[in-house]
Amino acid sequence: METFEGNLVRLDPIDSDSESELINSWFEDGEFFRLLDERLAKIPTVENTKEFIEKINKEGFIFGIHSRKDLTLIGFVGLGIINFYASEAWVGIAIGDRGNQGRGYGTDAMNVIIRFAFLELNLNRISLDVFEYKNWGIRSYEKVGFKLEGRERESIYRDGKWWDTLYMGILRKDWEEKRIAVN
Amino acid sequence: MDNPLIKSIFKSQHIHLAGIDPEEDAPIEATWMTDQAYAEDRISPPARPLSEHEILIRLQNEIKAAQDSNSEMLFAYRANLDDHLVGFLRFHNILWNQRVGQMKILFGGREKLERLGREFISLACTFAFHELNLHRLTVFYPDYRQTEMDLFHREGFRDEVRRREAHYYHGKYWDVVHLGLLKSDWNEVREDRNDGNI
Repeated sequence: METFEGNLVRLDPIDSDSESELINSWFEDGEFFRLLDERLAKIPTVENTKEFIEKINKEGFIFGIHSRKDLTLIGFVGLGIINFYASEAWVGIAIGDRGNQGRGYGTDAMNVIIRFAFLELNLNRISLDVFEYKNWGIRSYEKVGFKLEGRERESIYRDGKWWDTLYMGILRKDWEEKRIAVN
Repeated sequence: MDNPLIKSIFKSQHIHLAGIDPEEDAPIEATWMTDQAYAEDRISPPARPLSEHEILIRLQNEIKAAQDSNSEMLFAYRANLDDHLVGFLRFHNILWNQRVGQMKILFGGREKLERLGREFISLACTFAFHELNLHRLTVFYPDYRQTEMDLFHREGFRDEVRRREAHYYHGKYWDVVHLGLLKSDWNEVREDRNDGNI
């Protein structure tokens, strides 16, 4: 199997000239930002989106999640805060249109980027954080092999309520064990 | 009518919060850099000794970065007796819309940690909850730093997250612990101690 190919998707560089506008349109759905980030939800300009992509690419990796069927852009996935000293990186993922959520694209893309992180970057662990209200995301990360490592209590205030932020991690040895079990 | 404000958000029994004076403070901090735990807390890995000149530049840059940022604040801890530098306090990644922030305390040497550690933490929390109006604070330690973590536990911090093998040190992976304190936890600790005025 190709490094950047999964069962449903393939990860390719984002063409910031032709794809930024589509990515930007996802931010117009307030929920998209509020699932991705704890900062103030706001609609970026296309220029902001290009800068966002370039910034992540400079510090780590960001890939477009493209459907293998028709090559349309579905979302993006990235590795940032790469700490080679401790062999750790953080992963973030977003699926754009709501119609594409819950169809297995995110899980498939996460499997591909984790394989890249362990087999190409030779990292020892990948971390992520997720708001407790994104329960379908948590289920997807568990399917990939992430384990819950704790929760920061009342760390996000949304719609009049405090929510926890969950922290999940996958170690190279967890991932290898899972691969052996699957194969 | 009694003044409802607490006595001081900057001062406690033995120490107070103050600004950093790079020229005056760099020579003192240079003497702490030989302590491995201090050097590890002070700079991103790998820990290494820094000269007085390097520390001076670093302090100047950090003050500038904090001034330009709306999510970071820096303080020196000084002894009430003679204003001598005893440590540093940094708030970072403050998210004002969520009222959360992260904190790093640098204890100037083992003796300060043992003698004044709880006062360092208590003063930082007073400022965070009474002046910054935060709802929660987080600190991070690799799990071999039990002495520091115990101090934070005594001030009400709880172990909330244990990121397995997220730190590599002395040829071995260690977990990184996220310790969290809600304002309500902190109020409880203070009520139990009956020290409303710190």
